[in-house]
Amino acid sequence: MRRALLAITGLAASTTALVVLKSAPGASQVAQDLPAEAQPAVPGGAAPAGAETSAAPSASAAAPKPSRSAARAPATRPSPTSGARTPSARKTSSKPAQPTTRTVTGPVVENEYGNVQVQITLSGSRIVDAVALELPEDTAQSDQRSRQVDDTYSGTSGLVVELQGADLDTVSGATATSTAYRQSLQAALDRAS
Amino acid sequence: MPPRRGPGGRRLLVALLALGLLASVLPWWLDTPAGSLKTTAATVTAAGRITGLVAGYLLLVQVLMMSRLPVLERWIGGEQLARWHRDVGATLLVAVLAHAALILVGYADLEGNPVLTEAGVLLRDYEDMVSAFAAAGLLVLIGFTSVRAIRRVLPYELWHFLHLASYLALLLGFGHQFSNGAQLFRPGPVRTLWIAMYVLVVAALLWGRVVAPLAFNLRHRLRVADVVAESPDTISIYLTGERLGELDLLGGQFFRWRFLTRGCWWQSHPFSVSAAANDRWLRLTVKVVGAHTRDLRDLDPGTRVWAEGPSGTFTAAHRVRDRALLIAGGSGITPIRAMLEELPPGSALIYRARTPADVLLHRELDWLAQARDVRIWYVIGSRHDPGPREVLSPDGLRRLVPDLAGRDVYLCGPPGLVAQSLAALRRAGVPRRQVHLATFEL
Amino acid sequence: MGTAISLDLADDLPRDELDRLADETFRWLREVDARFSTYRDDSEVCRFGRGELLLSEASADLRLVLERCADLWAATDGFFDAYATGGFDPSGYVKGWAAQVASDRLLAAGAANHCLNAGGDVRVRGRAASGRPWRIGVRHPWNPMATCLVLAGTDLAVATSGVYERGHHVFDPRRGAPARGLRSVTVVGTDLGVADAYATAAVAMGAAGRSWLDRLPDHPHAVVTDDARLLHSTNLPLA
Repeated sequence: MRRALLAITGLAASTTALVVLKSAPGASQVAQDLPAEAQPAVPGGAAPAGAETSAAPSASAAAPKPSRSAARAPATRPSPTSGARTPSARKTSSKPAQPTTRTVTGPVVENEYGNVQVQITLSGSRIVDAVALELPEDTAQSDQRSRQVDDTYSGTSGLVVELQGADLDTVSGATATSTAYRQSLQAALDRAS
Repeated sequence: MPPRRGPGGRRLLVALLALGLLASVLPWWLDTPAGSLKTTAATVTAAGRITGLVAGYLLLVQVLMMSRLPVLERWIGGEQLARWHRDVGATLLVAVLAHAALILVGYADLEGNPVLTEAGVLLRDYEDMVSAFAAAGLLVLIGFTSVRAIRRVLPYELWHFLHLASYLALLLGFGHQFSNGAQLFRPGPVRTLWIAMYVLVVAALLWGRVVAPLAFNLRHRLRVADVVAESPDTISIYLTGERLGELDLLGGQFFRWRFLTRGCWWQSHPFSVSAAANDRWLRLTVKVVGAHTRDLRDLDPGTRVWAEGPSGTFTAAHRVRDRALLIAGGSGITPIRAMLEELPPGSALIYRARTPADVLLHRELDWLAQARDVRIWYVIGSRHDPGPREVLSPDGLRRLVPDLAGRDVYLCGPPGLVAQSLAALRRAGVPRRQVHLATFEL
Repeated sequence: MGTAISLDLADDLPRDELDRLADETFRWLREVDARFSTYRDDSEVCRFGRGELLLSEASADLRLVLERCADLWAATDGFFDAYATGGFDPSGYVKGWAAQVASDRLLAAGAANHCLNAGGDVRVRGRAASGRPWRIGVRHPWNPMATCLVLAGTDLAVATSGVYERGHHVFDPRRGAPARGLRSVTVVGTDLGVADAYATAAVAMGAAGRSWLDRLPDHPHAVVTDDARLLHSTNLPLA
């Protein structure tokens, strides 16, 4: 029985160790720390939890189902529909070329509300906007419920995506109060036209 | 003399199984972002997932070890497998209970429910959870009845029947892994590999329990030739069959025998073969202790025998050194007698029996002593008597066998004798790896 | 009320005519706000709700709104309920209805090509200045700057209802954002008020709203669930 006790102790110890290794305190203060207003930015993108993203800031389109592993760098593609075609983007910077507006999406981080991914809009090297994208956690239960519903639904189903280059005349969204309106795509459209 | 077989088989298997354990937990490791366990609930749930993966893996390992796969039976041996089975079983039970408790507490914390309410939620709203709970309950029952104290009280058949329910537990627990397991519900390589593991183990089970025995028995067609009384309470059963010369049998190994006659066919018992393989017959020597062995006395010649084996690593082939010391007690002389024909000359045998009448196969032993240069000491008395006690002490052993520490020691006998001998051998400085045990439990 | 209104007139009409039509539209919408606002104690709706205004004394518009709210209550199995808050609050219908009336008036006045967006409820008629049908995007539920769907049409009423704010629901990290809910519902029809009410009711129904929408005749729809799935009718007028 001694061997069994050893094995059980080993099991308890290694489970504890594994769990401790994956819990670092204060690793994701991202949603709170990044204010909505502009801030002198570290060009590495405000990557939380250590230097897991690549050093060069990369423009990216947030993938519909982002990877869970923080080690994967987001795909690079300039984001054309970020609404930062605002005058503030035209501030001069030390770079001779016109400052480009980029949207950078950070890695997926788990907090108590689920998975959070922060998308930052940079103009040159200044953060002009930060948005926390909430992503529902992909679990067995949600997957199952979706499949159950999709089976009885007569229309089409799939994952929700972000369409690029939509060239819209107007945007329909849930009740936009004036405060929310300022942040909305409709407002950007209005400003642009 | 059979060529030596090293301990490589055992070590390789242990390494493979350990690797498998790591591979089972790896998906959780990769799925969990660093620093993502911030709340108690998340941590507890994570621990629940780890123990779930471990429990699923260990259950498969248990079934694999008991699958009677010929390669396992010859490389590791049924006795060793049975000992491992006990330890893995205890760990499995703890893992299952830990998994259930941790997940329950973790989920309850997340949803803000009391634990009992959460259990109700799990049973009601989650797929396959009723069967999963049933599987856990079965494993607890099996574990409980396997505790030595309790097992002794139960009739063997009942205990065995309950133990068979572990297959049912495997079946019942299967679904919830894939409908609720965070690492297994998504289609992908992890899920596929996990299913493949199940398929492999079931295949091994079918091979070891059905296909291989079928092939063996159709090939050799064993029948009872004669039943001979060796002593008032011991019989030898001689078996004949076909192609006995092709049996890959080593002295010291055992078969699981099923005598296909009324009253005996539904039981299968392990008995060692009591003589080395020859072309003409197989022999097992059995001490009559209960109803089943009593029935064996009355076996008619010609009775068909269904045998599974050979199994065991208690053989001359597994020796580490050039010389051996054999310590036998009572009917434990059986495998040792078979081994004597295959060990190098110069072996020593200490045979402890309670009374002179309990000394079995005396004439054969004496003949072997001459032919194979074996020194035999017959020690008569119970192990508490001064004679046996003195012999089976470190000094006593060293006096009889001065080069004790440089010999393989083969032990076979009642638990008391084995324990006493082991203690003496340890104190006499015999390395553990030189000691071979034929017991099914320790 | 703080609702943002935007109007796009694409008719080839003289400048001052367009200005006049725009002013008329905004005047009507302000009037509706004054009469139907639940935030102004002196509005018709509040006075009616307190019992100070009898049904016989109510304006034709208020009576129409009341009647429609009753119909919608029946049609949505009670999930659209103007009395849900305890008092009388028809704003779930009024916003869309007011924009619908505004669009109808524009059409009657000869402006057959326009796009009116009242706080996210959209009524389009005719074509945009470029000559192609109006393109209406549906806001991505998680990213306010992105779209998840694009519709196009020459005679559409598009209403979207949903909850975007973080922390609004009870979150269950193990299941993700409440998997039992609908994050955003978009309904397409010809009457904006009805479309708005249907969208609101469907969100209130939660997961069951999907099948209810599926059974609705003449109202193609799109739904984004809390676990990021997009479901939509096969006959949705996609661009």
